[in-house]
Amino acid sequence: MSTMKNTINKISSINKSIFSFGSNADSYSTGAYIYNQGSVNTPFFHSAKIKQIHNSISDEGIKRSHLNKKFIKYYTDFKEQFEKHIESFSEIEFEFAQEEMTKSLNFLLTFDPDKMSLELTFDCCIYYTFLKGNYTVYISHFLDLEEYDYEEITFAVFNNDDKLPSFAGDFESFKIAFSNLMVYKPELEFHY
Amino acid sequence: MNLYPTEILPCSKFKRISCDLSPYYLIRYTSEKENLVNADTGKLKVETICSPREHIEDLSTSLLGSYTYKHIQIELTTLGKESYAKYCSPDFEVDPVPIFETHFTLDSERGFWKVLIGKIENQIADFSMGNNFELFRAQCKILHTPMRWNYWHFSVRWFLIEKGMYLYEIHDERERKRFKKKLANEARALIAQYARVEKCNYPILPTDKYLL
Repeated sequence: MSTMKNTINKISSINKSIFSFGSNADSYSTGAYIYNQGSVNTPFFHSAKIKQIHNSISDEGIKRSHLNKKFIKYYTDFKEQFEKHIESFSEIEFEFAQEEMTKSLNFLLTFDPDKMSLELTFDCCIYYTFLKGNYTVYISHFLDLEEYDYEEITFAVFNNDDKLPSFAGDFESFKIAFSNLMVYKPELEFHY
Repeated sequence: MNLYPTEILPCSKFKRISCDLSPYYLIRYTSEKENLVNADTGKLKVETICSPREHIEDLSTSLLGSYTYKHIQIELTTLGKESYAKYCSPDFEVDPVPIFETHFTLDSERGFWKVLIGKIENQIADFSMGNNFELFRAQCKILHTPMRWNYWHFSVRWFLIEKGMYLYEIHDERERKRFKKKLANEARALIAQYARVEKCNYPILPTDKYLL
């Protein structure tokens, strides 16, 4: 849930820059919140900057709500499939699988895929098909790691129908590789 | 089709197929006819690509041609598997021919996917490994692997370039398992990306490519 927390923290920090709790004795407001003029250099009611910040607050709010709805959809899929394939996942605790799924799903949703699906496979992995622009990425997030396993997650990528290099590594390396992929420019050399 | 289709059996006149197969298709059955594709992405579902019992990293398929859409219905019985689900030489003489309900039944509920060989053969899975910057490459190979029930049986296997061997040739179980996980994702991705579930016209292999 770290991404959600980050989004919430980001929104909180924007809020703090405009409003602050405090005495309203010297203000023209009667509410609990007062305008913190010190944080903004321009007049309150005529500031383009304030409008911009307000827009960004509402954009963030919409984005968060959008992410939540998507998260719930995939979470429901995940739960149904876990119950359906309970035999394949007999050695894996639901809570552990859920925690791992939350980690990868939250990360992938922040890239706002055009289309995405989540499936559980018989070999104990969460399998995502992620489509954005020209890219199709097939991601396996393994749940049955053993002590000698270094690769927690792997992906194969296609740019239209052309195959690009694949990746395997732990979750932190995956985040870097996937983020690099999403900002990849075809005219540049391809590196994860 | 209660008589076994003998045109798909190996026989003494056949040789191993080793020509360029890139314009031809591989076909594989699915356990259902409907809902083979994920509605959200339009790509094949994982469970469509192969059933839980199969090994995705060494996938059984058939060459579409003499083996046609109707043959995907053939399902070997337990006794049939004991006798016919075995690799053999291409010129193996099958005797007796499989008998309906004893050695095989027909499952009309099966669907299929097919994939152009040229799309997947020799594709290289070129991995960068995030943790230790190790590089690893494997190449997708399409091998003619005739079976007693089906001369047109082909296997999709993975050749580990640096090791100079196929995945199944690795004896160390831990090492094989590590490679297998990565290649399972690669194999699924190739099939999901390039396979189709619609019927289409397809070329038929010329007889000189498989007759002795």
